[in-house]
Amino acid sequence: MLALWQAGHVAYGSLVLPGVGETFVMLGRMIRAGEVVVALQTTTFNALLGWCISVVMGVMAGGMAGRFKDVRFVLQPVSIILLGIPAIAWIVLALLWFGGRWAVVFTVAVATAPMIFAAALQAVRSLDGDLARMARAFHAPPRAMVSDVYGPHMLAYLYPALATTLAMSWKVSIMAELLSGSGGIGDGIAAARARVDTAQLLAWVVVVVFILIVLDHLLLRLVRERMHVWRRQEERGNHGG
Amino acid sequence: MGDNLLLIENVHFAYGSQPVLADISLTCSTQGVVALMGPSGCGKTTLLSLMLGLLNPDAGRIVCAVQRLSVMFQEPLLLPWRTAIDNVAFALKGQVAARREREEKAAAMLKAVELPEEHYRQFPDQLSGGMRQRVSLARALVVEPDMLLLDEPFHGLDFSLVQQMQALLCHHVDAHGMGLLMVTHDARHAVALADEILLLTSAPTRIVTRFENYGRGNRQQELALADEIEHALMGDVTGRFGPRPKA
Repeated sequence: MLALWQAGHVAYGSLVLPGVGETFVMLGRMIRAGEVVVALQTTTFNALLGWCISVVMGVMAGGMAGRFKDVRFVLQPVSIILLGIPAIAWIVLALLWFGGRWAVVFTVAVATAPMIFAAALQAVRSLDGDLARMARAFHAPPRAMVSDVYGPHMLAYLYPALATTLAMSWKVSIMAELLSGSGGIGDGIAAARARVDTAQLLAWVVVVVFILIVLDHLLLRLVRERMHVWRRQEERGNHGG
Repeated sequence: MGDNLLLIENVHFAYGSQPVLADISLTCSTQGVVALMGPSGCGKTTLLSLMLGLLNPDAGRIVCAVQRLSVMFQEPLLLPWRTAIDNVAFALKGQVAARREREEKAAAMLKAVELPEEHYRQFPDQLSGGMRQRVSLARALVVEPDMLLLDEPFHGLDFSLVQQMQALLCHHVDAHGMGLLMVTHDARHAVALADEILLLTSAPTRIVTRFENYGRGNRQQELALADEIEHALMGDVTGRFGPRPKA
């Protein structure tokens, strides 16, 4: 991939596609200047806060909708409408409503919540009544019901949505920052674009990709590997009826 | 046979307007083994749910003098996200015990059901069907129950494993005074363990006949009784043992 990148640079020149070395030199300069750390802090805060709000709202609403038919009847169409609205439209609306950093946080939350909602709804609807009956027969206390029976099942269903939306929250946050000018990596990209500094723009892209790879390897893979063994049975059970 | 652990008197139960159980009466005592037999879907599992307190009877009464009631379900019903030892220790979560103590008791019980030690930390998906049943039995026994309910406990298991499990259950009945009530389709399993066998008929479920003190341990008598019960179940239960009650 690096070779292809370098070949593109040779073919089209630095303005269209700066070389690998040129980009990493720029990245080093940005890190030394402290730009990257500040932007990372801002984007991390925006993305994680928006994602956490989305998880809390999505799980609560999805859980209620999964449990109660009337709530599902009301919330499911709302979720589909929200899912159909592009993130870019939310950003423009949020800028008008809130402005600044809160527009970014709101956009992340509203763009990711419908996916969490759908996963939580499905998780609650597919709860295994037999396992709950078994747990009640052994007088499992409420804490054990949550940590041993309902919690792991919910996590199995929620995990793909949580992983996807966590990555998505970064991308949406950067996009919203680019338009709102409220700091963060998106703001850095906007500044690079204004200066037509393609090397700096690519340096920011490298930062984003690096963060997503670290996130996937350090956090998500650990959970995924832990769940892998017993999820095979879940999947077989679901497919086998 | 000692004191009554479980007394069921004239119990009726219906799902909505559909009667399931009608006028069921039975008792189970310390060191007593009762087997319930009947056609599929005749409400045996509903009766077990009533005994476990997961359902309430519409009429009649269930008196439970049991301090620690335990159950082994037809399916192992193991938590797929917990290892074998954690599944057994899960049954102790309702008791005041430290995690380490729960694990020690679970390991001792897995040893008692002869699950090889290398499988203790494996997930249910990594165990064979027979191993899962052993874990399920270990979970039922780890709470040291004074009464154990078994729902088709030996379904689909090979002969040697059934014998091992039966021997372990007999040991708990004889050594710890545990009462045992089992639901089964297999007359040989019933006569091998039970002091009293109740035959049920369906729609709604009624007890149509009882076999008591028929000489358990006498192989010839056991086989003859198992044959008689199987014939009765394969044919018309009510034809041999009484008129079919109107639903």
